[in-house]
Amino acid sequence: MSTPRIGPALVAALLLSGCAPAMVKVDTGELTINDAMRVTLTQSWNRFEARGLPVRVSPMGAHELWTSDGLTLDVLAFFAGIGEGQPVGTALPGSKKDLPTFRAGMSPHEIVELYEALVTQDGSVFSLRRLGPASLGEAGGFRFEHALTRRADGLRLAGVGYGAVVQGRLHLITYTAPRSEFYVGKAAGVEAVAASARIHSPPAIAAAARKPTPLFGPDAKRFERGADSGGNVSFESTGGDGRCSSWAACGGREPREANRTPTSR
Amino acid sequence: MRRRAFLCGCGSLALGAATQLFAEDSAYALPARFPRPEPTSEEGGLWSYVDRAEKRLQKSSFLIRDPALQRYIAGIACRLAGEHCPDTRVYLMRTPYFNASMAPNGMMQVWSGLLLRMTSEAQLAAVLGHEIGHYLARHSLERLRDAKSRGAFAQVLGVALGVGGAGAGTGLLAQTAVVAGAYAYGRDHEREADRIGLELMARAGYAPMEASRVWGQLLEETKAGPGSGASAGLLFATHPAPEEREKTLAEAAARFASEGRDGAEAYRAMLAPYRHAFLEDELRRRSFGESLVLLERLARSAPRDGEIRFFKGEAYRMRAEGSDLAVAVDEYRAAQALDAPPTESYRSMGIVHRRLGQPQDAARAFARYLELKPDAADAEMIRAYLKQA
Repeated sequence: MSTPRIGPALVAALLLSGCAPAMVKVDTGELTINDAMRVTLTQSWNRFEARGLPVRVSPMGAHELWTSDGLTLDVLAFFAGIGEGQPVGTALPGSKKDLPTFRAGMSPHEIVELYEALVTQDGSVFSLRRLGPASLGEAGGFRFEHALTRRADGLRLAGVGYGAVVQGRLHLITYTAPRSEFYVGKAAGVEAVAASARIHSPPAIAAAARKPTPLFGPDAKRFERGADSGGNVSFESTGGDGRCSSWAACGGREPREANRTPTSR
Repeated sequence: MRRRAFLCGCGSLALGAATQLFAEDSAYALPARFPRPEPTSEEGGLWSYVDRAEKRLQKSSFLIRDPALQRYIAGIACRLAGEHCPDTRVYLMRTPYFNASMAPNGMMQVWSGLLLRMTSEAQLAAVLGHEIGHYLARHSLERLRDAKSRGAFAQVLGVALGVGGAGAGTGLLAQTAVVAGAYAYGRDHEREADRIGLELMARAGYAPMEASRVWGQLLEETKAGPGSGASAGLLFATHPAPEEREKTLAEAAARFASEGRDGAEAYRAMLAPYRHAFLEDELRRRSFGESLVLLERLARSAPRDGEIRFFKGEAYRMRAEGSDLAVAVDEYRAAQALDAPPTESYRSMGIVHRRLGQPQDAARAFARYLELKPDAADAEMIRAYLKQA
């Protein structure tokens, strides 16, 4: 999910525009992603960024793309606030096939398939290892583990993902790294990021109702540190009385029970 | 052979010319084995480059490392190659496109998309024989020379490997196929490889008529595609009259006295352990129209096979257009009434029922899935579905 998507089209466009992809350090603290999700970091990461470009660039079509040791090794991707009819990520440059799109009634199995479609566009081989109910921060949702053999270099990756549907919008955090001690060493940090996630309140989500950041596009939003327009709202998947509004939002538990369950990962 | 290259040659074969071609005396004399060229020669340089590429291929994560299957496919290639067998090294690659190729040093690649699409040994022999024909006639060497002169050597080799080069640069295998077409063999080369391939098939005891069937099957599949992209559109846009190709090969095959064997049962048995994974890869291409044609054909050849019907259901479920979801349920139900249906058919059926707002039907299907596979990797999730229902 990392290197193959930083393809020649992207590189050529960046060079032609006089810009170059760069890594920008993401310090610890609170961060808001696409006005739809906020995470609190206890360790720093590196964020993929194309400096000098007037728009945001993300090779996967993710709202944010972070790495610990370089995008050829590990990738932490955020897809925040995907609406009805929108895909997870973007199709590869030159692809004539559309990615499948999110529908509010989709089960976690189907949502994982949306992500699978994204990361297997290049012929990589995906294998689901585990899928079960879990929390994304305080929102109920699901967690999955997978293996991925990357087409470009044959590297065998392990991955984990967290997802939740809140007020009809999909939020995903995914991480992949080489299948080895390397992955094991990084996984705890990723779990901490997922556990810290807070989904913004409906008004903020409505304001953020936009397509995932495309490779190039005028509607891409700059990364905003600490710009939490939605406030510290933990259960946007719930109604005003704190009840979950859907199964996915409650992580498969009974709605009331799920609402009382704090972040547990 | 590059898929497009193969098809290009097929499409370009005019009926009249082909009749003349195949009317020639069929006693094809195999050339003597090719000695390794001097390292300092131009050909030696090309071999050296290809040798290095082969070493990378041997380490590929997509190489299918099954000695039994490898021996079986290599055995087919050897029967075709005759005395050139010792120089032929077969690599089976997990790549879901119709493709095979043979380099001047004897490195032969067979992609899983080809293995999935062939229904018999004879059909695979038709494709491999065609590729060996290119090798015996030294076309592959000429193509590499030509690519080198155009500065496109790395791209051609990259395409041949399915990794590196232009294909991996974009990360799109479909684009790889397009690039392959750009460096396809010329029409004369294709015609000669066809002639040699049919001859080799007949000598090895395979039914030459299967060569035309390969073309017919591909034609049927590509017609069901989107009409653009790497598979069908470009082929037919640049090489008209594909129907003639099927007819031409059939007429040519009819000139051979022996009907030959097809080896369908042995082929099915050898591929059976891999078919599930190959079909999963096939659906990941997201060319559902083509996949459904393929699955229909496979179902016709094995009408009691529950796995094929399950994947038909999966194709409809993943496409999810119009009445696809309802059709998917029908396919899952049909699969469950046949032989060896995958347990996943119950899970998928539950997912579709859930999507269609049919919780009781979904619960029944999920419960059956858990009953059959209580330790499934997604059992927790299924139990959560059931709890919700």
